Amino acid sequence: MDALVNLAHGFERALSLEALLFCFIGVTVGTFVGALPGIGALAAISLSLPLTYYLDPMVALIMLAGIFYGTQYGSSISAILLNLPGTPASAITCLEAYPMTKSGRAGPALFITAIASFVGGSIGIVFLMGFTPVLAKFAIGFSSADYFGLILFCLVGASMLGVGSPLKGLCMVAVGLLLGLVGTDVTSGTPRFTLGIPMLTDGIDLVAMMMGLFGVAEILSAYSKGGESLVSASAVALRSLIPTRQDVREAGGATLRGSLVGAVIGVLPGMGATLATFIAYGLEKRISRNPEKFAHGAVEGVASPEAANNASVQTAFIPTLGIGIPGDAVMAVLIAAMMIHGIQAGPLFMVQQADLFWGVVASMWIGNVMLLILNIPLIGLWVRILTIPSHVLYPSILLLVCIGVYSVNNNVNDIIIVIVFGAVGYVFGMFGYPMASLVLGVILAPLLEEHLRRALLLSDGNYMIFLQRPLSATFLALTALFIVFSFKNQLMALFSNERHGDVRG
Amino acid sequence: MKDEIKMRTDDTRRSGLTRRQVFLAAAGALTLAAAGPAFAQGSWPEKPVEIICGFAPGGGTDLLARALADALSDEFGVPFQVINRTGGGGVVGFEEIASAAPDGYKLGILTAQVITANLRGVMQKSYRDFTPIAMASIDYAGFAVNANSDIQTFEDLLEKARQNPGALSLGNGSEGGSFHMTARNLEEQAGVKFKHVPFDGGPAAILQLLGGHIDATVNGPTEILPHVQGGQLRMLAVSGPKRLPDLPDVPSTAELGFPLDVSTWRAVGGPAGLPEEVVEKLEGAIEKAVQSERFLETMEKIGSNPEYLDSEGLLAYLQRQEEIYTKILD
Repeated sequence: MDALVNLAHGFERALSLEALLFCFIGVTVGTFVGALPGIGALAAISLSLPLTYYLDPMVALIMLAGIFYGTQYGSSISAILLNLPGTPASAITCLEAYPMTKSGRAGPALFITAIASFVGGSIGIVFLMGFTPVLAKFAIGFSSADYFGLILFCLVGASMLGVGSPLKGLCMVAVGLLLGLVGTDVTSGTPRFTLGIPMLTDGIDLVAMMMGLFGVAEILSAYSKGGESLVSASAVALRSLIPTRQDVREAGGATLRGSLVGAVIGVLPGMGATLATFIAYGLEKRISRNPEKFAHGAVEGVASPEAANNASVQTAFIPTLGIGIPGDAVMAVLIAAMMIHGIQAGPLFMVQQADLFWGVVASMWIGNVMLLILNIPLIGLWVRILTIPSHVLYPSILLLVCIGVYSVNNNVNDIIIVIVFGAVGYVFGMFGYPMASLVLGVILAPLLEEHLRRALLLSDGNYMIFLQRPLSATFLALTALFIVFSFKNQLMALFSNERHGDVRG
Repeated sequence: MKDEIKMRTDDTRRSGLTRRQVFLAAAGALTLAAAGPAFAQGSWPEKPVEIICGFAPGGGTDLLARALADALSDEFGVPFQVINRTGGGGVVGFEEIASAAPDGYKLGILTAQVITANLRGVMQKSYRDFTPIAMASIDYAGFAVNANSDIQTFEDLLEKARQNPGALSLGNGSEGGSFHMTARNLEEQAGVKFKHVPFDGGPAAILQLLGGHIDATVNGPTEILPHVQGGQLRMLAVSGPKRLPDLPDVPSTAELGFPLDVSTWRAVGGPAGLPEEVVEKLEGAIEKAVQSERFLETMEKIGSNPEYLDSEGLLAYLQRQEEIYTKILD
């Protein structure tokens, strides 16, 4: 009951004119910045931070949070239309949504994304409202060994995401892991594989890399096929914007499953959104009755990760607000913003600043409604982008990507990264190697290594630690099951061959 | 410079020169002024000054830089602009400061990483490639354990470490960072050995301490404080010479017999060979700035301790820090 009273209070504050205005500004800025290739949530929030110095603390937080989850909406737009994921979490969206676009179904893809994001966001907020203390405890309970188990499980799962053989997926994960090791080693503080370039001591810029791997590679391959425009103008009639009844049926369950996965995984500091989308997608592919649809524009493969993405973005606020520990760079900037306003994030935040907490949470839901209202009418406009002749569209995208990537760090090296990975992505794509697996490898490599080494450091080098801890043991068992299940045909063939051999011998 | 031009305008009006000639004269003076630092003396600053911050917007160093820049802008009447050049743990920014023209128009914030990055071979330049101008803040670390731990006092912590050398796990931020160096400094003085567990930043270590996955942490007192108030963590001591005003009950390591001399410090510096007159002007202005209300307010919010040292004092501090770090890192 208490929570409901608090929530009512929160809505009262979040519905003030000022809060509504800045919430709207936040989600609008977020949507457009997210849709622009090359500029992620971090850049958008960092740049807006000084603007909030003069605002009321709650209004400032509402606006910054709005930019954050608004970017997640926006980044799916460029992922769907142009194969340009604005954030790592929307990399997976490309897998199914871009094939939909290529077959003239960009409208339904955007529509489903908007709805799934809204549902996911709403469910994430319910978790945030109801279970912050419980989930904060859950997040604290994860030791390094447990993180290692979880990450390993996700990596093995990701290797099976590809269209073709799991082996190709595994190769890409391995390449990703190697690329992810570029930068400063957390355990020893030593720069590795940096070629003496100071910029590389922080690792390869992920957004720049994704712009190359997905976007530039796609444009290169379009040109190599003659460079005709993606969709004919006739395909952009209004009717084709709305999902069919079958789409809705398929997306419904997937959205709910994705939301739950996202809401739980999002709580883990530092890896939430991206992991959640990969797990949600993998889950859909596993349980689907027609897995052959995947990679050819499966609606479930769009709805589930999008819902997971937005749910996890909301529950990512749990460790930030509930424990005061920022999960990633974006959350660190949010905590800094709170500090500037003299608000201490931490265990007492929800008690001492209940007003503020519930106000911000209420505004998140209002913001999600705004995003829905903002995005549905815009779908027609977004889809029209595709009718721009390719000889105008492609150079414009390349230019936007370069400007976007450059503007984040003011560094030319980032543009070189885009170009290099554009070429890499083109070659890998030609031979059917899944780019998403590579991206996940890059993201998780430093975390995998850090947690592996820390777990072993704490156990004095005893590998049994991974089996002694229930959480980590569970993940390792799941990983083993997953491998057996994925290769069961090959294993069975092997087994029967041996038996056969025995009989003959 | 503005005054100078105005004076000339007044003079020329009397001598009956045309406006065009006045303009040319003024433009000439400006060109000469821009041509060399020698000529700029006596008139610095006459155009916006850039303050390079090697760390991201919103962080402690950035906020300090902005508060200082505001105060200096007011003082000198020209804008002091903070420019964030992030990368390589501050190295990208430091490189830019050190390689700037020594004319006083590009300065920056120096931190302990100037010394550690050089000693670790990540950066070629050392503190000798900078002109130290003034210290703005010095912060120390806090030692904390989980509230459920049987370690009640700082002495307990040392006793436990002494009994089981290398077994007590201490989460302490990144390898070579000031928290790690503080712990090494204590090991040296107390003759104990911890199991150092590196983390990517202090907050990550606090998270693992909350879950009971490590025994103790060396961390930012401001980051520990909310968890002490919430009853989940216990603060044992703060490093440094004296107690913190926010934590009057927590002893300092110095009063317990361990005067640790590692800190998180932030100072203003420029490229080597900055004109003396620029340094003097800045010293005075920064001394005033660190006492200004706006600066103190910012420092309180980020939980940082204002501390002023002049150019000479800062240079001595840098020399001492390099000695300490060289010894610890060996």
